[in-house]
Amino acid sequence: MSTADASRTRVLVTDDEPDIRNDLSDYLSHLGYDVSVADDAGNTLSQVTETAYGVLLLDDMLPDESGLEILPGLLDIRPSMSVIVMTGCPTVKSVIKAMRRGACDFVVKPFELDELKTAVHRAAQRNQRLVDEAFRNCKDTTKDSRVVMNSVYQD
Amino acid sequence: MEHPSILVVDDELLIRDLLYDFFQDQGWDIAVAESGEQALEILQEKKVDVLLTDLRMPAMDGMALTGQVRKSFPGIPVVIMTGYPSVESAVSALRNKVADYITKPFNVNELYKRVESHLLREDGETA
Repeated sequence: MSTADASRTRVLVTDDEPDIRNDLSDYLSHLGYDVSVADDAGNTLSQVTETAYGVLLLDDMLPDESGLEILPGLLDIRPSMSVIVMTGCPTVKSVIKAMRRGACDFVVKPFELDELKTAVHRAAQRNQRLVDEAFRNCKDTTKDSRVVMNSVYQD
Repeated sequence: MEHPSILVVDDELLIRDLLYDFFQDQGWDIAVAESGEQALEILQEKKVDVLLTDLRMPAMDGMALTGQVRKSFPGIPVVIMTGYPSVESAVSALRNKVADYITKPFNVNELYKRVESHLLREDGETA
């Protein structure tokens, strides 16, 4: 996928710190992504339910609930969404937890914008690949159903 | 159902022996390798459902082996184990689509549960 394709991806930035939220939103919008923001877990859950985001930048420490705690539920709603966990207090345990709960990346604050750009681009590509696969599988299933239906009618 | 198969890669004989006996007792088809290079040779000849590798090994380390496996045997889930865990290596494992990262010393029953859970994920998007 080209950069231009990736940059059409919808990105949700969840962080309770307004400066980080706004800076990331400005930076990613400048790169061409379609960016929304959320400031807590509840808001993230409702936004992910309403909108098919391709990438979620999820802070681990949120005021109402931990980002890592809500991660599996978010992926149940949007299985092809790529989740990048962000934290200022990384531990081996938290990275393992992120891995086991389905995150595709983990970035440690403070991070370089270039590092973030690479991570978001990679996440957008992964999302696109999963969406394409799901679409292909859906098409194959439809085709199989047609073949079965045709054979039923011919019989 | 056919016995699940595992390839254990570790330069420590003690770990290889421990895991060989354990997985064999569980009815698994197990092969062991003492290096990444040997592991790749075994993978050419043998069907493996899951690869469990140490991270720190002389010559080819666990992450380099993971890269080779991703390229040549993309469907095989890779589980890393390490006695020297770090945020950096865990993040690197996550980015390299490693299925799991287990720290040593481990409880062998816990390790078994983790490894077994990856047998069921055949979607090529391990963890």
